[in-house]
Order: sequence, then C-alpha cells, then structure tokens
Amino acid sequence: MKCQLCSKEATIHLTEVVDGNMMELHLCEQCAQMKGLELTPQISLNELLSGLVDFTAQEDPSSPEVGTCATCGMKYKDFKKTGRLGCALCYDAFRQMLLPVVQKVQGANQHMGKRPGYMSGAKGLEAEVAELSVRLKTLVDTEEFEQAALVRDKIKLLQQQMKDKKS
Amino acid sequence: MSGFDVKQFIGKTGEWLKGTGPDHDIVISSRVRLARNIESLNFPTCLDDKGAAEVIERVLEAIKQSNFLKTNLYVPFEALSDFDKQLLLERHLVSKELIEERTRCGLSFSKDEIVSLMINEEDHLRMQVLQSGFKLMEAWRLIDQIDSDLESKLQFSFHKTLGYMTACPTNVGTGLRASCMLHLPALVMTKQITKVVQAVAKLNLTVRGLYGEGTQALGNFFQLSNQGTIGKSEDVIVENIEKVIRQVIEHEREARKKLFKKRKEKLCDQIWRAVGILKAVRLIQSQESTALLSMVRLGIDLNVISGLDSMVLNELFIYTQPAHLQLIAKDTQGPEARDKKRAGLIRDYLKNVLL
Repeated sequence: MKCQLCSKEATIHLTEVVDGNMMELHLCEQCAQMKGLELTPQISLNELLSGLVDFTAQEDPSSPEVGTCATCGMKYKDFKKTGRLGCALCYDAFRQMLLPVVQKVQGANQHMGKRPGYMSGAKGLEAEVAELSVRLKTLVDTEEFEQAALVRDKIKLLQQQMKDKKS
Repeated sequence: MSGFDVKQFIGKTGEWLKGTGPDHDIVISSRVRLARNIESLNFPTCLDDKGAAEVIERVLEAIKQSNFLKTNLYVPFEALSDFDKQLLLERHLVSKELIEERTRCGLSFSKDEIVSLMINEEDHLRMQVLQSGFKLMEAWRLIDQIDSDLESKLQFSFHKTLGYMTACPTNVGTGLRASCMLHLPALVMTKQITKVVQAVAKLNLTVRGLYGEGTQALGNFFQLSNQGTIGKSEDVIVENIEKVIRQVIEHEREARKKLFKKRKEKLCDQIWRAVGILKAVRLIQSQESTALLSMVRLGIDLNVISGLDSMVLNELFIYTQPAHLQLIAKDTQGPEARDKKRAGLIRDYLKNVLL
C-alpha cells in the first residue's frame, strides 16, 4: 500500500475515530514524522483488539432512538447480551456497531458466496456490478484501498458468474 | 409428508451411522448445514406466535412441493415429550438448542435421516445433510440443491454485501457450517491432540464434542467445523475444512501406526481390557461405555479384534444412549435400570468377540 501523502510504501497504518466516524491513515515513516505523529513502534495484537472492543463500546449509544431497531424493537444492548438479532433490518439499524464486530469475529464482512436465484439472473448481476463499480470508484477516490480490493474481487466474481451463465 | 412415531426408530439407525464412505474408520460422519430466514418476518427471537405459525406453515408448504423433501416426516414439537426430544438429539436430527428452548418449532427429516430441517430454531430454517464417512463436498452439493429448490418457493432474506441474513452475526454470509465427526484415539493416547486442536484453531476451525456446541469431547470423538461464514464462497469454505481434516486423518493414521509398531503390547492390552470389561459388566453408565467402546472401535480398525464390524459398533454407540435404551426396553426407568439394560445390551453385542 502506498503512502497517502507521497508515493512511497506506507508502513504506518492508523485508524482514528473522529465524531463516530472511522478514518484510516496510511503513511510512510517520513510523512508520519512530518505530521508529528508520535509513534509507538510495537503495538501488540491484544492492545489492538481491546482497542476495537472499546471502540464498539463507545459507539454503543444509550439514546433509545439510535440503539433500537425500528422494525422489530430489538435494543442493541440486548443483542450484546444474547448475541441474537431480532430481524434482518437490525443489520442496518446497528450497522455502525455491527460491521466492525462481524469483521472482527469473522475476519471479513463481504459476502462472496451463493446468491438467491432471484438475484442471480443476468439483469440482477449487471445492476449489481454497475452499483459496485460506483462504490469502487468512491473507495479509490477516498483511498480506502483495503475495502476497494474487496469490492474489486466481488466485481470479478460477479462478472465470472455472468460469463458462466452466458456460456 | 407423513407423521412420525418414535417406534420407527426401533431397530433402525440413520444412514450416517452405516459406517460406509471414504475414511469411515476415522471420519464417522460429515455434516453441512445452512441457516436461512424468510424475508419480511422477524427472526425467531422477536417473532410472536402468529409469526412462528406462519413460518412453519410456509416452510411445510414449500417442503410439500419439493421433489427432494416431499416424502419427509414431520414432527411438531408441541406433541413431543422430553424423552422423544432426547431421542431426536441422540440421532443428531435436532440441536440441543432446539430441544431446550422452544415450543413453537418443528422438525422435518427424510426417512433415511440424511436430510433434516429445523424450523424456528435460532433462524427460521436450519437445514442439514448428514452423511456417513468423509463426504463434506457431496453433503454441500446436496444441501445446495435443496436450498435452491426451497428458495424458488420461499423468499430468503439476503443482503447484497452481507449475504444471507441470520439471527447471529457469526452465521451471516453463507450461513454455512460444515463439520466432520472424527474418532481420534491415537492422537489422544500419544498426547498430540492438544497440539492438533491448537493448530486447527489457528486455521479458523472450531473443535467441539460429540453433540456439538457446548458439549465435551467424549470417547475420543471430536467435531471439527469452520468458524467463519463470510468472505469466502461455500466451495472454498468446504475445500479448506476438507484439507485440514485430511491432514488430521493422516496424523491419526500415523499415530496409530506408531503405537502399533512401538507400543503394540500396551495398546493391545488397553483394547483387550476394554473388551474384557464390556463383556463382563452388569451395570455401566453411558460415559464409561462410550470411552470403552472407543477402544473397541480402535481394536476393530487395527484388526486386533474380530467378530464385530464397525457398523454394528456404530449402532451400539447410539443404542446405549439413555433415550434409546428406554426406547428399546420400556421398563428401563431410572438410572440404575438403564445402566443394567445398557450392560446387558453391550454383552449381547460383544458375544461373538472371543477373549
């Protein structure tokens, strides 16, 4: 991965949370020093993981309108106790908290497998490839390269499926 | 689809216990399950009685129209006693969670017990294919076809990025859990099992006991399954776990060879002691019998013991479980009567094994 300020190889990857938004910074050592970042050279994996848990805890809103799914009434704090969501739309309602959890527990959050028949038709695939291409462009523009790579792989996969269908 | 009577289980085991299929000396069975939910209905935890009834009705209607499933048997859970439920658990047709937690649920399974569908467990639908021996990919192909067939009749909840929606985020994506039940006595005896378990965990596989989640390893039986359900296609998930299991099989074979070569007397002593105890017992609990039968199984695999084949032994593993004993002999109420009956049954099965 390239440094976001110059074109050298980025060796420092930082994740910052500003106003609830997660921002990723990828910098080379010189640029990082110029930006005045104090670097602790070795951060242990455990520290990183507990940092992630703290992050989810911070993000856990106590205000009912944010912490409750409007469709089924499930509260995020109850989900944290039971590990069970109330309905499919809970994934949207708790998206901010849930996506990092899925990523952390499962090591990925982009589905690459089977799709229902009604979405696998040529039209469905084409529409999704178009949609993903727009997303890919945005991700490249904002230099979120890791996410961009995942989306690129997904586009490849769908294009392959389209090809298979045609043949 | 027809009704179910527990008497159907007498004298008959599921296809997965036949002791056939590739590597059946080490891999008892292969299982693949998919978690699915019907669109626009809350997941079972947040579903009222009316919604739960609707799920059952819609799934049963889809099953009726499915070429794969229309001859299935259906079991509404309201009508079942605790004994019936325990029986289904011992046959691996239901999960512990289904029999413990819920009343508004049902089970549909094929007569050969290869395919089973739990309705309103953690998700609306949990479908599994359970086969004898090391046949994970085959099991996946079959459940994939069944899933596609049901999908044309029921609309499953699907998210473009996250895949199939499930009640627990640990199942989201493919909703797929693939597992094999392995018999690993030599790795236990040579104390390599901890290393294997640790190595397997690093490869994102989970190791569990005989009856799945939250159960202890018993009688050297271990269940290995994939941990992640998202980020890889189903084929890749199944291939990965197959690769790891193939290695575990190799290690177990290697350990068996080594034991047989270097500690033959000791090994044979342990096997024959197990046979001796089992041929003499008058009272025995299921935990002890499972451990001893594991040794007998190893003895059969290594051709130390003759007069018994592993399919018959598989049968005995199931029949010596508490609910099955009670099914065979109605007068076995209470633990001591069961232990007596279990002892008698084992002696009878082992009568052709000569000391």
